Amino acid sequence: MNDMSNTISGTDAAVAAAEKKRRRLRSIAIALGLGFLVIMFYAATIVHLGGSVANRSI
Amino acid sequence: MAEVLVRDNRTMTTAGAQAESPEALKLLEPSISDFVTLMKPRVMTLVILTAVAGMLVAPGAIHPVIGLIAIIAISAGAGASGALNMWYDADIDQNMARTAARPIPRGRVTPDESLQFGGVLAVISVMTLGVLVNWVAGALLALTIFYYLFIYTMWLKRLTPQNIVIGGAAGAFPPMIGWAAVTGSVSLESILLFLIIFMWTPPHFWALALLRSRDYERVGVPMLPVVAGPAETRKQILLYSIALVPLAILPAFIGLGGVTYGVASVVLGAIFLWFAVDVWRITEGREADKACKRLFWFSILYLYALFAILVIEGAMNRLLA
Repeated sequence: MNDMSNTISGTDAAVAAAEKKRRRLRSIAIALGLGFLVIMFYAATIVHLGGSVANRSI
Repeated sequence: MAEVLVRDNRTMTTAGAQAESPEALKLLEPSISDFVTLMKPRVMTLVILTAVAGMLVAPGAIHPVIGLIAIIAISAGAGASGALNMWYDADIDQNMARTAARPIPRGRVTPDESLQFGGVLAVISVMTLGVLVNWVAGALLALTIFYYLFIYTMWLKRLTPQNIVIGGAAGAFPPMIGWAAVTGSVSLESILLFLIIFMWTPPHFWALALLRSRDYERVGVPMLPVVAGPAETRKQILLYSIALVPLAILPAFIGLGGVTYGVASVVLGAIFLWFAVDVWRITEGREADKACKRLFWFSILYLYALFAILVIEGAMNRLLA
C-alpha cells in the first residue's frame, strides 16, 4: 500500500513537472510571437510613414 | 464529438504513460515541430508559392517589406487553417493511415491546444494583413480560413463527394490574396489564377483517393471513389484534367506569363493529360495503382512548376523594369 502511494505521488510530481514545462514553453512561444509582431508592426509603420516623416515644420 | 473521442484517446494515452513510467510522459510533451506539423507545412509551401506568384504578376508596386509582411500573414493564415482542420478532423485522422501520425492522434498536442493555436493565428494573420497591407487582401484571407474550416472541413467534407471540388476553392484563394495585396482589388487575371488551382484540385485529390478509398470508407468520408465508384472517379479525373490544361495555358496569352510559362504549360499540360488518360484507361491491378500514383505526384510537380515559373518571370520583369 505504501509502495503504491509512493508510486502515485511520484507520478503526480512527474505530471506536475510536465505541465509546468508545457506552460513555460507556451509562455516563451507567446512572448516570441508578440515580439515578432511588434517588430513587424514597427517596420511596416516606418515604411508607411516614409523617409520624409522628419521633414515637418516645428 | 471529435474532441471527446480524441480527448479520450489522449487521456488513455496519458494514463498509460503514467502507469508505465514518468519518462513516458516526455513522449507526450509537445515540441515546436508538432505545432509546425499542425500548420501543414507542405500545403503552406504551395500557398506561399502561389501567393508570391499572385503578387509578382500583379500590376503595380509593393514595398518589399510590406510584400514580405503580406507573405508572412498569408502563410500564418494557411497555417491557422491547417491547425483548425486538424482540430476538427482529429476523430477521423486517428483512423486513417495517412493521418494517424499527426500531433493530435499521437497525443502530443491536445485538440484544445490546436484550436487555440489555430484560432489565435487566424485572427492575428487576418488583422495583420488588413491593417498593414490592405483590407481587400485581409478580407480574402478571412474568407479563405472561413471557407476551409466551415464550408469544407465542417460541412462538405463529410457530406458530399463533391467535397474537394467545392472545398478546393479554399486552396485556390492564395494567388488572389497575393494579387489583392499589391492592387487592393480582385480582377479577372487573379480569378484565372484561382481557377487554375480550383480545377487542379479534383484530379490531384481523386488520384490519391483512388489509392486510399478504403481508408476514407472506414472513417465515413464520402470521397468520390467511395460513393460513385472508381470508374466514375477516373472519368471525372479525366474531365477535370481536360478543363485544367487549357486554363493553365491561358496566362501566357493574357500577359501574366511569358514565353517560358507558355512552353512549360503546354508541355507539362500534355504530360498531365497523358497521365490522366492512363488513370482513366488502366483500371485493374498494380498498373492502375501506379497510374494513380504517377498522376498524383506529377500533379504536384505540375502546379509547383507553373507557379514557380510565374514567380521567376514576375521577379525578372520587376527587376528589369
